[in-house]
Amino acid sequence: MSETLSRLGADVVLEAKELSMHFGGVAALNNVNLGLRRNELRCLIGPNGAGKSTFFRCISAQYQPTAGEVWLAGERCTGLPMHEMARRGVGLKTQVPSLMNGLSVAENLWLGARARRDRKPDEVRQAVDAVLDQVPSVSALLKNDTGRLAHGQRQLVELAVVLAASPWLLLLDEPAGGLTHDEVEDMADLIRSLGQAMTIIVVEHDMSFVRQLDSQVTVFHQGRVLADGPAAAVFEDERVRSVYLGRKAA
Amino acid sequence: MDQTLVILIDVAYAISSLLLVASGLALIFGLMRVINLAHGEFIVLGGYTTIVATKAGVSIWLAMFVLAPLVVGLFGVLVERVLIRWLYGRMVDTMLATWGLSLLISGGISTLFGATTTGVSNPLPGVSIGEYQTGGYGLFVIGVAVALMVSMFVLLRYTRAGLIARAAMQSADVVAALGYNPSRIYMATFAIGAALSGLAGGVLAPLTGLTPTSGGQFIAKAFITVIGGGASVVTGSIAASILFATVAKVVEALSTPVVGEIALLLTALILLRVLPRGITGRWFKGAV
Amino acid sequence: MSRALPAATGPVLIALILAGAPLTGLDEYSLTLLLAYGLLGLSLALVWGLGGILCFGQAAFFGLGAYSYAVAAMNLGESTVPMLLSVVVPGLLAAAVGALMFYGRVGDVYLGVITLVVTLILFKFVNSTAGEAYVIGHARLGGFNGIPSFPPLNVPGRPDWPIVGMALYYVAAAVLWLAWVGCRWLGRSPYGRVVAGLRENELRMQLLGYDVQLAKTVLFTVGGALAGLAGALYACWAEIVTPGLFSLGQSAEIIVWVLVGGVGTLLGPIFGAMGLGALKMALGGQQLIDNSLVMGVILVVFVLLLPRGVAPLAQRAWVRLWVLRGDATLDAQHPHHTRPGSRPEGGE
Repeated sequence: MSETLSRLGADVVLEAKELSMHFGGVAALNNVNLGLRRNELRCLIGPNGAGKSTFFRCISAQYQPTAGEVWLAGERCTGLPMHEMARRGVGLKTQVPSLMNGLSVAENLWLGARARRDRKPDEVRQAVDAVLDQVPSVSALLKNDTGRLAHGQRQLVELAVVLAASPWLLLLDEPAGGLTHDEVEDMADLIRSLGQAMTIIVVEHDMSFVRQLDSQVTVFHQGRVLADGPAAAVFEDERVRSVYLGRKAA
Repeated sequence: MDQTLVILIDVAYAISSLLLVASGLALIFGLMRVINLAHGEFIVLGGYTTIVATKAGVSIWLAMFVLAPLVVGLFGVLVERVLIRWLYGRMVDTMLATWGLSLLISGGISTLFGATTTGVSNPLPGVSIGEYQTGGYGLFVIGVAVALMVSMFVLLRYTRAGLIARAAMQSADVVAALGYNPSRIYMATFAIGAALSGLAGGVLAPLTGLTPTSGGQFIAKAFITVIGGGASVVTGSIAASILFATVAKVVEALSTPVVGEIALLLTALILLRVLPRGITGRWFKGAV
Repeated sequence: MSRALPAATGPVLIALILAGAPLTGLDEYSLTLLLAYGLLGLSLALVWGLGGILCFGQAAFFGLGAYSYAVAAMNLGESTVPMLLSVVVPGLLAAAVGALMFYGRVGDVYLGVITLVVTLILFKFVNSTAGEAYVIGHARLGGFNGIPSFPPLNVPGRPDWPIVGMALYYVAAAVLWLAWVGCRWLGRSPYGRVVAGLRENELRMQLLGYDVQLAKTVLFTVGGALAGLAGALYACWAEIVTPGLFSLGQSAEIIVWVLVGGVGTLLGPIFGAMGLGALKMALGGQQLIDNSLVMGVILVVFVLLLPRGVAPLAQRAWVRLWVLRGDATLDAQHPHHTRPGSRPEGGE
């Protein structure tokens, strides 16, 4: 058991135990042990192909791991289908924004909110209103054709749609991807504020964004956890620096 | 011993006729990811060509090995240029359009030839194996099927043309960058696939009476053999044909030919559910 | 724009048209057949237009409904239970096949193959049932010749009161109208909007927590049940059922109706079915042009003329016309109601 897991107490809401994902001969994930506490904000970084998105896919049940387990809030969830994981409160914002392109933004939000089956019609509307409060810039886009949005807008809309389903574990795969400098700052603010009430994992390549989030950072490399700790410490870590091939963790 | 041999020949014949019927579609699907639902009608066209030519006095061997593939191959060029070419990448639309084409062809044949059954007589005598008689033509069909599979394998695997065709399927852009014209490659592949169907029709013509609507029985079997076989042209077709034909023959021996056919279809259904990518999607991956 | 008209306008209009059709002198015997075809077209329109499921074997449910009615009517002598069976039996088959396909996560092409194979199996089986051995109760399946002379539709509970001729026309019209209104309602319901969503992006819907497989299976079952009902109407009209009802040719025809009528609308395929059915009847009388030929040409032309294919048309038309119009919750009024190439809203 890794140091990380033993440090965490009874407040562990997500646990990956010896998680492995093999594709043919390639191990995209190799014995990953990772744990998150309630309302923790964690950044996942690592070079391309390190296994970060694969990790997300295993947690959201897009992939069934070849070995290891996923535990959610004390419940063993390995092997559940995608929609069951989502119903247990996992929300995933995908690397390439995935939305219902033929429908309007409003419809997409409605579908997100409606995903919680126990909601009555007015509760659905309230959920959408609540999300629009959290992500105000989406209000202006309600009538738009989702397929025609600019990339930055798609990122925000997708985030809003995922939030509309009220997950408590939010997986964000490159939320800052393709955003302008100002948009990135807004996104960081948004994520920090969301983090007050949700457990969030962010996968990112943009190091300045990661610094803005000022959270615990886990580094993946070749399918394994290479380093794990506060952002500052991780960026100073020699192993992490060499893995990024001398790229300065600026 | 003799009886076993006759039974084996019978099964081998069933496998061979399935292989022949499926080969054209397998080539087109395997290399171009096109589902040609008019494939059955291509076979019927090959059969009609052979029959008409033979009745006009042409040697039956010439009619089935040269004329039928030629005529249907040229027709395939026409179809590709006029119809298929606009629909690459749109699998469902291709299925719909070629289904329309099949209706068109069968309707056309009905109009031209009327709905009567037509055929030619079997040109080969029976062969005796011990106390048992077996159709010599059956052995001939087996021979053709084997020769066809071997040629296709050699062509695709060991010749430059085959390599280019396989490459074009993987990436048309790269092939174009290397100086080959993907559009021509697709046209040629489709034409050859059509020619193979014509050949199958010609070879099988002496055995089955053909009507304008015979295409239906061919397409169904070809379709499920190709999909069941998976992406590999030769290996997939052989594997699927062996599986389906054997099941059909075994069940037929236990009951009736119709039940055998139904068993074939049910096997296909189960196979598709269990192996959604076909046999060669799971085993023999990467084989030709 | 139609948005200003109350939602009931369409149904009232169609009801009037259906009620008035025989008064125009059109022969109600042929009209009744066209109504059955209309219902059949509607069944595929629902499954294909709303769910994005292109079923290559919708005729399987049509034929099964017809045969269920015939066999049950022959055995029971009364038509109420047979009508019920004509809906339930195909519905069950559709549920089974649907579950097989959707829970197996088969792709579009394989879906087509599987539905094709199911139709073939049924056709081959029924076609081979000639002879004394193939009998269900009093009903001989009759193989190629089918089952003739079974009791027609009667007033429920009164086998001595048959419903034929004009009465049958009005019953069929009512059934079609109810089915259409029902499908329309389904499309606008929350379930309908969920199905529209999963047609757009299955992965995203699953990640949000929707049980996509179940939703599709339910839709497919409803489609199969409707096709079965159409089969029963056909049986009552034709007074004979034959294996041809299960044929690939019949399945192809249904697809052509929906394609021509407009994938993504409900009324379009109904009219497409009726129009092309009428054309087929007109052509049936002469020997010059084969019906298959005409169907084939139509199918090819339609697939080619839609430059971006059939699917985008389905998406856009359905979404614009159905989902957003029923959107009272969020008041999202979409500025673009029609697009070039899509069906005009007037006739839903």
